[in-house]
Amino acid sequence: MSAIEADKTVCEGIGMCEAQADDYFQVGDDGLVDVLTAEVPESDRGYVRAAVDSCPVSALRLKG
Amino acid sequence: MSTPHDRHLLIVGAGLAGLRAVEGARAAGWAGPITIVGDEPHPPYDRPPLSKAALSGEEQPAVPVLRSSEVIEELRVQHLAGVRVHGLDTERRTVATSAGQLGYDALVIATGSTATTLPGLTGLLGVHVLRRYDDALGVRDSLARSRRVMIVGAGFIGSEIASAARARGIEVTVLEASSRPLERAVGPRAAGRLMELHAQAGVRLLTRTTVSGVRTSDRGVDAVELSTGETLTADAVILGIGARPATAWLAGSNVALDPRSGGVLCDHGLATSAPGVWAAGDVACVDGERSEHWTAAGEQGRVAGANAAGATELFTSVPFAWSTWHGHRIQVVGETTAADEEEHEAGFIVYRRGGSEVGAVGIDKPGPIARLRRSLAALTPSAAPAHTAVAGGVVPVRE
Repeated sequence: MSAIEADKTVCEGIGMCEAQADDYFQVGDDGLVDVLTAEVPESDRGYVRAAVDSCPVSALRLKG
Repeated sequence: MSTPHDRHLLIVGAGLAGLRAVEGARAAGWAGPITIVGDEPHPPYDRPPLSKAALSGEEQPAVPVLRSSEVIEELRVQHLAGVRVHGLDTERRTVATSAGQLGYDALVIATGSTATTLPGLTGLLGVHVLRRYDDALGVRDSLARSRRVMIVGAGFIGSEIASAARARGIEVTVLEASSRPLERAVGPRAAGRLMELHAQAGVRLLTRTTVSGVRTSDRGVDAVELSTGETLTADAVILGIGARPATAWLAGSNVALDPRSGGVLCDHGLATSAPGVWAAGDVACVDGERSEHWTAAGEQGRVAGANAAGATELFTSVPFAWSTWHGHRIQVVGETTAADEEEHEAGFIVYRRGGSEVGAVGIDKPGPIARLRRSLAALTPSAAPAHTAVAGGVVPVRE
């Protein structure tokens, strides 16, 4: 099991994460990322990792 | 007969599209070696920060690498840095490079584009374009030494540089050849709103004005002569007047180019006219359009890589771009040139076609933009989601 960490002070609400993994990320009404499910099972790790890596401002981390 | 384990995927161009092609191919099950060739000395890096954070007054920025070395290692990709490509032979499946001939079983062209320059200004001290990391360092050094700068082109790049220069207290003049900036990108209402941001920040914008000459000294540029007859002193001139697809190396190959844009003609699966060759990013021309957006480059790269590995995905994406000018967050989503343009609320300009919302420009409106982007994405028939492709493990087949 891995865990998503989002730094809202860095997030610019660009939404690349949501475009790639919308069951884990959503840009909220404040324009910043909301992590919908922080814990990522092994089966989803690859695609959540791709979404995390695609953040243009490096606001996301996948730990573990 | 080669097995899937020794088939070679060659990717030319080490930007976002090239890197995403590696990831797309691995996710679709490409088992053989992958090589990514770039003409710069740096690992694959991201361009948006070059006209944003990299120009700020803080310490010299590191290369904004796209992936950590651990991720690059997991992808099992060999990166050839500082290697230029000269030619392509689609019959023998070889690419001629400054490091010799490279063979391939599948090829992804992701060479991006080259910033347009003005004749007579090329190579002058104090004159810059901004496309590569090394360009950004040059612009940054120039800004640090300038009191007045001239920016040619009021598009997104020019406007971001204007913003960085104002943040350093530099006097900024922006020249725009057309009567209306951003003519091909957004409607007149949105363009007006965006240009107000410049006016509020003290940027002088001159439309219908071009450069007719420059005056130089041994320190480089001193002044710029304008088509209006005016001469303005400037310590630096930065050109943001567009970019041409980097396709010179494809001359004489079987890869067909779009006569108008010069881009590589691609179908919706990013396949080119030559067997075994795909294209992605700024160089790719899909449906007669080069998107030149970060989001499209990444998605095209992923789809091109997956299809090179035997998948049958189609490129579909809701156009999206973002920028920051003078501290204001600008986002552009969907189709923003439709004639039906309305400012819904201050700073949120919506475009409609046949009564339906098809796009918007937002100034400090990330929430409404995110909602519209979601609803537009729901209407767009999407390619297979990434996790299906990962699970699919498609075995590549030789054509």
